[in-house]
Amino acid sequence: MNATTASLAGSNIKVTQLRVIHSEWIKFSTIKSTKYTLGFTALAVIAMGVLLAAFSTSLMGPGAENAAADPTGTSLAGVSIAQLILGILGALLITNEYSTGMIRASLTAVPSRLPVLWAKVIVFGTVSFVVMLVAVLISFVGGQALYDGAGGPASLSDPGVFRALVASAFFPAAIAIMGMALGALMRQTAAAIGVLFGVLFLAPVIFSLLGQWIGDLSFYLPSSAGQAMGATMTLPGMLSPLMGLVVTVGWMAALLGGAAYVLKRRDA
Amino acid sequence: MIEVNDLTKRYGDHLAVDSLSFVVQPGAVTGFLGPNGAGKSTTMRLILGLDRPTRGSTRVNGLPYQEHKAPMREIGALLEAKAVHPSRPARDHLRALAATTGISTKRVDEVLELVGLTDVASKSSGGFSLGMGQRLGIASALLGDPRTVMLDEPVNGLDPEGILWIRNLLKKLADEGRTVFVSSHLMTEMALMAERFVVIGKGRLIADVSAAELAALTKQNTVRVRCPQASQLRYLLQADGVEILSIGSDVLEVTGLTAEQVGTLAWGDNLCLQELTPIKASLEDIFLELTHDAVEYHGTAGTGGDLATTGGRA
Repeated sequence: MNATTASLAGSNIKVTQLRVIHSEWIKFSTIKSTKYTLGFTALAVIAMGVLLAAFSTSLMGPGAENAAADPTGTSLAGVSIAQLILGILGALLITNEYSTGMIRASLTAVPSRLPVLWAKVIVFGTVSFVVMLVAVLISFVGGQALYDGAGGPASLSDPGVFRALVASAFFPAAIAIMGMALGALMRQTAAAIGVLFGVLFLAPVIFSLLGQWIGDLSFYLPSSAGQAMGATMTLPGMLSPLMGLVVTVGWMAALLGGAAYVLKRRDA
Repeated sequence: MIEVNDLTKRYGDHLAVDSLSFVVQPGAVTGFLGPNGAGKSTTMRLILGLDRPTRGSTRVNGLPYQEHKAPMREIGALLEAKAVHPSRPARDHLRALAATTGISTKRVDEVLELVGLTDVASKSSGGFSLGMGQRLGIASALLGDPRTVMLDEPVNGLDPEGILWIRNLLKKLADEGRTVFVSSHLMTEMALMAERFVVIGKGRLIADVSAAELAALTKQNTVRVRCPQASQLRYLLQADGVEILSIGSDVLEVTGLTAEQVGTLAWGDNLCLQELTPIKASLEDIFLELTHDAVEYHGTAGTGGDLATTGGRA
């Protein structure tokens, strides 16, 4: 080995946030199972949306009221499954680094630590959003073409439809990021996924049981905020789509803040 | 250069590193020695900023590690525990690490070539043998062509050829003027590669010395004597603090007397000496003696302190 190798010449050798993002992209794109899982998620969203739309009449009978009233929602039926998968995948992307020891290599290369967390969030958040947006659009376009429910198919230009589609891509990406934050907070796959499940599925149930006392608080849970953001039909008491976005971003920011604090302070 | 200053790390009740201070200078291979659990790996994690010290500080090439703009350029480290995602191909693992600092893919291929992993670069590291894993770890340590190289138990799992390769590589890196800091719990291996030794036990510094100084630290002086009248000689040499071992009918190994003393005594009694050889304690023996004292140091205060020659450094 030469003392100063040509490939390392120049003073431009230093850590930058952009480079750490590039590094995380390489990490992300070189694990096959991650790519397969994402592909499967997109397929599930498309298949469920298109099939439900195509069979909306035969499933529910001609003129079935729900399908007739909410053709867009029918096409988005697969999104809740995508939330779950992406949330788990997000948690795994972080906890895997701890279980394999890769985190030590990552933090040795970037000892200021936080750029690694931001880069992971940016890479996986963006990838999740883009994959979901494509899946949701295909699902919508394909589903509406086959839609035979009474009242006719929806169109992208109908009020609220475009917003609902974008929100249906954004919210799973937000859950993916919350999964990553929980992964960084817990460092263990089972714990992170457990808490994610609790917040997404258990909390709404508990809140509805306690409904008497805590009233409308349940509408501020992430799952309800996500529903509000992507709603194609308004239910009583639900937050407005804009408030849904605000609450979702609030949850994301709070969890990420906690994750950043823990990553910075705790021994790796 | 690595500077460790009053470094202390407590995990709950366990004091893993205790007021440790030493300096690792460039241009030589420095061995970091201590029994298992002495705190070597913890010290290295603290130097890399992976763990936060309870007290004290560390510097790499003059700055705390976290403050360097291109950390991989300053220190290349191989930690004992694996730090690789098993499903990621080796080359991609290195590419990801290199990307953080703007190090080119060309350099990735150079280090793969250097450690001899070019042929398996596209295979995922999960299927690597222990030795191949070590080579991949060393490749990642060398990515930034760092001024300081720090390896934790690098010969673990390597075959004899691999050990020889590591030994030559580290010597070469030191000859190029780099700081090379290598831990091991095996003195025999270290004795072949290192010029300086930092010895710790129970998280405390025992010795920070050159190889020659380390040899001088031993309290044991053994002399091998061949004499036809071995039993007479044995009688003559008996004294407090002298240990005599008979080897065969005419050979004694005498501990506690110098060759000069044995020769003079024998001459005084007209005994014929056919051989008189001072036997140097191996570095391994010295290491065991030193670390044994370190263990006792905690039980009965006072012993072992005389062996710590930390003056003038740190």
